[in-house]
Amino acid sequence: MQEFLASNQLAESLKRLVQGDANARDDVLEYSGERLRQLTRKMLNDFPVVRRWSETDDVLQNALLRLLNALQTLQPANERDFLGLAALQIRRELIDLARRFKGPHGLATNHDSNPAEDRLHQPLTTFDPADLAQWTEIHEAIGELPDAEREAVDLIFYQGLSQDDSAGILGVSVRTLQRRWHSALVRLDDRRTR
Amino acid sequence: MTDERDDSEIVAELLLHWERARQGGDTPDVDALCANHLEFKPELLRRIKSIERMEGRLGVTVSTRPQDASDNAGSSPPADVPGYEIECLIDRGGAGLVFKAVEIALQRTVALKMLAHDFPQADHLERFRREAEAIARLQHPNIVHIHAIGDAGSRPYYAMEFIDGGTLADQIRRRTGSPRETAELVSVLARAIENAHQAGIVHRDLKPSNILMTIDGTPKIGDFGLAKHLDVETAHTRTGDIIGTPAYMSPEQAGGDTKSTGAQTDIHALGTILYEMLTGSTPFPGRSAIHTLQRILTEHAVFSKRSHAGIPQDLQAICLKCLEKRPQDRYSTAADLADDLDRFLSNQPVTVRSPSRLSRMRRWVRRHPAWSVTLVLAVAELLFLLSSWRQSHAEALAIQQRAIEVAPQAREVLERNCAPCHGLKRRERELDVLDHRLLLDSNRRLVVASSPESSRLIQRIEDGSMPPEEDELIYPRVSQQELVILQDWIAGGAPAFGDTSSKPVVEYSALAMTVKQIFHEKCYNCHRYDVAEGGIKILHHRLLTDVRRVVVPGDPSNSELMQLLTQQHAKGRMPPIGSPQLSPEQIEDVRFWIELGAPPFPMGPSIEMSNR
Ligand code: HEC
Ligand code: HEC
Repeated sequence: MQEFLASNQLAESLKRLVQGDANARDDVLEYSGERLRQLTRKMLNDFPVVRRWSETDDVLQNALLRLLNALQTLQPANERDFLGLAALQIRRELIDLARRFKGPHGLATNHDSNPAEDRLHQPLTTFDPADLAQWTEIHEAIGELPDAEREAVDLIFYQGLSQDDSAGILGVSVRTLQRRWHSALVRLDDRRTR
Repeated sequence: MTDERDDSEIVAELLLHWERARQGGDTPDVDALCANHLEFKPELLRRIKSIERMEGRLGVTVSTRPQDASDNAGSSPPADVPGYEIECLIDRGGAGLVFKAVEIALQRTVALKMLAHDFPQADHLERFRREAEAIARLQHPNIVHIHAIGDAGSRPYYAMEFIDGGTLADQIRRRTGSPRETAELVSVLARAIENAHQAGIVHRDLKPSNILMTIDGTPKIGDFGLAKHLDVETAHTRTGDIIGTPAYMSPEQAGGDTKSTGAQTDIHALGTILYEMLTGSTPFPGRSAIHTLQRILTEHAVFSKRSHAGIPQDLQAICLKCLEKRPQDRYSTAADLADDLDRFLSNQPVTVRSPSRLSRMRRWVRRHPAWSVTLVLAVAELLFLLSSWRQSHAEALAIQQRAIEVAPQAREVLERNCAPCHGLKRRERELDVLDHRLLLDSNRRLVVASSPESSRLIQRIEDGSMPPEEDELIYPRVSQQELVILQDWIAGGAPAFGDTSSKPVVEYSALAMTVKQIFHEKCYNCHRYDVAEGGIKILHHRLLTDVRRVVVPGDPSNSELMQLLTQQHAKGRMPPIGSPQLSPEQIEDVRFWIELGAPPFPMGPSIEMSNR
């Protein structure tokens, strides 16, 4: 199995995609799928119970496929549009995942596999949903940032790009990008602690 | 207020200096940064704290260089396991750690499998143990036997038979088996799986690397269920591994439909193994995990007529039956599968798909070998080959015939859908869709005779970019019905249009226009071509009926769209609560439209509706 695209190859593939090279689409989709996977893991890492619970995979797979289907229908006019839309989809899936794992009606507590299975696969324990609620809030808060700041977060956080690459895609200087990144983080933190 | 903004600007500037320092690998000296602006120090410190806190929360390490995508799997060294003497590590990977060890009391060699990390809580251990015990009770010569379950510290382990002959995966890698050998082996596996199913245990992760081979070639299925507990821990640590080895997944697993994974899931896996052993490759090899997943979900397994000609038809049929997309279409039990394989092995008719005349004859001959029969067979075979050649020839003729028939309709479709922009009056990209010679010009590949999929005309319709999306309110996208006409016309060689003007392929439907207006008014804002969030483009008829299938023409009650419109509770309701709702009459219009076969949306602007 091939390695996933590194973020510096992403820019290259996106360029080809915009030029109409259909093969590039697979690469780009894969990159986005991989980002979603990493971010999900990050999010669920704080929850050993969820992490160890076999259904995480299934739920994530579902999210992955939905993400890919959504992205497949996009006809990006340029790299920036594509990355922005992809980040939006990723954010939506993450919010969805966080909601699903959050009690009391989340997957973690309300589980309906077949009875013979139940004995083996009940959630290992109930857990405090507060942290997942916070993740939901963070993703939602990112969605509400001023556009310029949100774009910076989209590229650096959701897409995992370096500051250099992000600045290049947005057509701004690295300093401007850093400024937006700082200001976005301060705003997000203020919201959380408020 | 201006002052405040200036202040904020200065702090932002200081932050950039701080950023440069930390990326340069220094510990930024805040006092030095603020030397000239001591009054900003508290605000600067506050922001730095916020930034660091949020970066920590998001897990972002900031750098101007590309981030390293890989994660390291940390696994601590093995603890002492009382009662065993560990000899060496024989496997590490998705499934934790496996050691070769000697069980001291019995002086026998075992394989010890354990988690690479600790289970943090006692009740997890308890659950693990209960599940392991259920599996340990399975006593079957073709299932790896679990001798003991325990825990070393807070690390659960189990001791199982030590098997030395490698795995089925190794064997497949070396060579593909003969059809008979393969059928025998899979039949044995199916019987073992049946035994587990009887005990209420589903494997869910059957694949050649989980099937151990003894030196004398006996297969033993390992990693029952338990693997799940151990795997999850480490499986996520390698890039791409969250989706495991998808090549052996069933469609219901690939689609995340956990509710329908069960015994049939294992049968699907057996089918995949059978396929791989027969052909040397899994049914859906992909460039990557995700590619494979997509293929599993969308494509049907096939045997190639040419390169798999040596594989007996019956065995192919058995294999494809296991690989059916819908669980209920597969064998209902593993025992049924084993029975059919055994029938194949003893040259009896199998239960799946009536075998071809030829193979039935061959089998009969094999049971009654005699000279005369062989001769008869040779003649029959010749006749058969002749008739199948005639059949394929007839097929080609039929395709050409169909193309000639639909040529006028193809013209009509192009004229109506494309000529407004690619015709005599307006000629976008120097393309006149009714100019037959130009269409077939080999340089432009607009129409490649006999190959719809390489024709750019078709490609641009299929990818939804023609007519241009932004014109969708006036020029609807081509419906499935019309697309098929164009494809058939090209498949049969794209014959001349003929000059008779035929009646429209898609008749104007007032009802469809009404529905288009309803969608325009009540849904379009969230479901237009340039909004990614809604996920579906509501005026893209082919997407609704054929690609996403939220509309089942003629069957409103099975159309997801109707369910969304009539949903009582807020979840999943369309339009979402808070947006303008459809009136009961409008819902009825949509329902009736679907009932009448959901005719495609007509050309022309949808007029703003007045108070309906
Ligand atoms: C509303 C006007 C409009 C309609 C209707 C329309 N097109 Fe186009 N078409 C365009 C424009 C503008 C372009 C150039 C931009 C582009 O390629 O996206 C174009 C480009 C194309 C091209 C690329 C031509 C080349 O050689 O580069 C093809 C192929 C095409 N159209 C096919 C079709 C087909 C098939 C239809 C009917 C199903 C259709 N178009 C209907 C406006 C239209
Ligand atoms: C306020 C915005 C909004 C309006 C108005 C709206 N939708 Fe949606 N719709 C959404 C969003 C967002 C989703 C995706 C929900 C999800 O995936 O959880 C969606 C999902 C759907 C889906 C499921 C798509 C899929 O991916 O399977 C259908 C079908 C749908 N809407 C139809 C409609 C119809 C028909 C109307 C008008 C009668 C409508 N919607 C009006 C926002 C809207």
